[in-house]
Amino acid sequence: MVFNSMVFLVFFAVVYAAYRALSYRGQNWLLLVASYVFYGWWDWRFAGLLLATSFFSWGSGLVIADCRRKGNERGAWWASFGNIALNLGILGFFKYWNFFVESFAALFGRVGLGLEPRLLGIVLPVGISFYTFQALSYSIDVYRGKLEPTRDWLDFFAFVAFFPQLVAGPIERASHLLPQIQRPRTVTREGVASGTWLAVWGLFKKVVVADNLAVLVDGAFGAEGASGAMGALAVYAFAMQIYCDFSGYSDIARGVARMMGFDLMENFRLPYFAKNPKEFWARWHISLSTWLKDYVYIPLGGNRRGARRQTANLFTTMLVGGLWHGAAWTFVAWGAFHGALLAVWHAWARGRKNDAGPGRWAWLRRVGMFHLVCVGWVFFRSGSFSEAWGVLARVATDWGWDIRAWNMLTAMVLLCWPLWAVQALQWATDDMESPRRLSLVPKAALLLVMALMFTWFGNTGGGAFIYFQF
Amino acid sequence: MEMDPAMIRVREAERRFLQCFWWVFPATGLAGLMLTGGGFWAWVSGNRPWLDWHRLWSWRAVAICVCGGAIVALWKGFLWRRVAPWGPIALVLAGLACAECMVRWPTAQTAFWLTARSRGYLPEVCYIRLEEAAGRTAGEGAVVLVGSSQMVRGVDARLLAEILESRDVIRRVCSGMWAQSMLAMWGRIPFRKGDVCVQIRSAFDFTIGTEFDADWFRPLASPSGWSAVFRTAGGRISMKHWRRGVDYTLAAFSECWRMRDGAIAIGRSFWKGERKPPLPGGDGWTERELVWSDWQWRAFEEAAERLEDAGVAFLVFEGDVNPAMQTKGLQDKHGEFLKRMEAGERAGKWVFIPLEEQDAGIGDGDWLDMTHVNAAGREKLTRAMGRVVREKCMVERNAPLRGGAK
Repeated sequence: MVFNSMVFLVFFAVVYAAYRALSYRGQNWLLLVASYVFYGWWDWRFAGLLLATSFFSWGSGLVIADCRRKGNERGAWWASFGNIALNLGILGFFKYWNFFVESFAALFGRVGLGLEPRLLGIVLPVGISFYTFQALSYSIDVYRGKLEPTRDWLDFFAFVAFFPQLVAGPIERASHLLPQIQRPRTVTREGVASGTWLAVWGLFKKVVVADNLAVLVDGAFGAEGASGAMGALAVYAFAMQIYCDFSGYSDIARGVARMMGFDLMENFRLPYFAKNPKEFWARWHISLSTWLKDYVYIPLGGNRRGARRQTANLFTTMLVGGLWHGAAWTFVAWGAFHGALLAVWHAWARGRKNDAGPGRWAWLRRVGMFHLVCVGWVFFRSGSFSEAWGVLARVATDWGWDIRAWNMLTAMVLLCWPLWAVQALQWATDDMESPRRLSLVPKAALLLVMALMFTWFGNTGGGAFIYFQF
Repeated sequence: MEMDPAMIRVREAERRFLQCFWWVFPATGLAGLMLTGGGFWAWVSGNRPWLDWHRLWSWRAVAICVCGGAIVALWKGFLWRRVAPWGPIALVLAGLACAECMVRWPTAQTAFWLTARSRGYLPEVCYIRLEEAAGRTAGEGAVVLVGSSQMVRGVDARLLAEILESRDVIRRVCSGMWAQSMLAMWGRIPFRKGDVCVQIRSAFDFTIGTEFDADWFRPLASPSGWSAVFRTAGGRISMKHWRRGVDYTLAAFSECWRMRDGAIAIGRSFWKGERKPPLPGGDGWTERELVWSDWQWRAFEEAAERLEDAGVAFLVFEGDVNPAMQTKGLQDKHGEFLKRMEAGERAGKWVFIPLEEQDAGIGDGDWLDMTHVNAAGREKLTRAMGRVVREKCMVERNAPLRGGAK
């Protein structure tokens, strides 16, 4: 079931009506059942994996706490390690088995050891990377003593399977979401209004902007005979597409949750306004970047062991981030590229003051950073390195501008201008919910434009979100 | 009640914006006005539009500037006012109603469908919508051609009009127009009492076709066929395709929704559509199990009843199949088709013209693919159709044929 479908609309209407009528304990039961229905809609067999992940993480939390109470630190370590190994094992098997087998076979092939890779016909369970990371954060936090384990399996299982953010995040921390599940929620008129706005805005970004840009990108990215100008426009369009697709999902998730009285973490904060790589990762997929920071970068040593070690840690963390996105070397390259950007930026910024300030060249740096991010998107979008190099080479060398390029540029502007207008307002006011606070005329104008664009350009086919595959 | 700081910050940003850019609104209105006329129609045709400076100083230009200025004044007037939550919603609904009225305006319709056609959107659909925007110019007792690709490729309306001499020919044909599609666009076929509806139908029309084809219905849907489409589809099919049903319902009642496919085509090729190669012939036929669609048949009978009620004669020509590509499954269904057609004729629902009676003389070299004729076949078929229509209902111009009367 996807958010941008009529099935979800009916599903949510039914769930929401029941949710408002139930007491908080009944609401948790409802959330659990609804979340498994939501997840099982794709393939009910994968609900077993979700169940297993929830069970192992919940159980490990209890075992860790039990060991701690008995002073058995080694037992607590093993319980935590076992849970991490089990969850990463499931993730690795479903997501990376074929990738690693193929890669090893290719490696051995190069040194003359021809191996027949034994590939499995595995279907990647949707959202597995998201809920695995979410469940892992719980057991790690319990092990670190930052979180009290919950004995109530219902609350924990509802936390892991919470349907608004189950398949594409935000990757919530147990310390943030679990307490909200454990106590009664208050649904306020303000919460419903702001949740509805978030959901509608997210839906607009997905079905109007992202889905239409996807058609343009698919037709131009790496297409035979497309000029460099078309290639550049396709990369820009993909940058907007992936932002609107993913942030649209996050906004719908946050909006739907807020309507039910939950507060999910912000996942995107105007990422293309970033002036440097560090700022970009503080604005892009915030729930993943903070997860990687807390559970990979800092345990590796962070910036505490000198500049060289920090560079290596940054690079390793971003490689993990790249691999998290998908089982392909292009994703690893994307991660490495961002790791390199971060390393270079940290080296440059070390010892300099006031980098976070606006600065004289702030806008130029924003434009520069956006283009660096776009270079990364080329690898992210490409199916192979040769395709990525082909696109980059064409963009750099061929600037033939024809009617197709004009059409594509105009289509991009037509689709994106409300987004840019809203982002300009959000930027000017430093308030992501500022469109909701507009006065009568601009608010009505914005809503009217959105309604007409939904009508004329909205994709009603329920196109899948890009991040579902991760 | 005081405003919260976040809201004050946003309103301050609005105030600053208005202070700097208030002139954008009247200027945009002016530029828009200057584009109307030659510049706008040049864009419709896929050429570069131009600004016409001579239009700058006119009463209309002043009026548009004042309207733009009024937006600024209204914005300023409500800038610091608290409005009820339903205020913006009411304005949006009013705006949507205005947009719906504007797009129904014939000039807007003509501009839109001409633009869509020049940007590569389905020419048959655009033709129907443009004809509709122009209004019916045909006289009484016109021959109305209705049908799918067999009619699109098989009948030359201009030649038919020449043959029929005293009767006008109206063309409402589009690939994929099965019986249910015809019902869905019923309001767009300008039948009048005394007209003759001519269709080519074959077993294909009742054995293939998507159940509840909302994508086809959308640009042509009309409210007058809405209930009949659901009724003839039946509860099971309507429930099974409820999402398509919602889509079709929106299209039946909202012009904005009907325009969406054309709007997407224009949005993607805003300046000029890419030239597309002419439609190739069908790529053959793969033998598969053909299932008789009762719902298509019900829709066909419903259409016949509606024609009878409207006083329109109904001629159904049997559609031919390329003998070189005939299949066993299709032949079986063709038997069923003939049986039903003849029974309908006996019941006085329509006049059925079998192939023998058409005597079009279509030979092996007249076929484009399995079901469509080529240019030579088209001329033969049109002449045969003209002859039959003349025989059946041209005896007296104002005494058209009634269904079932031979």
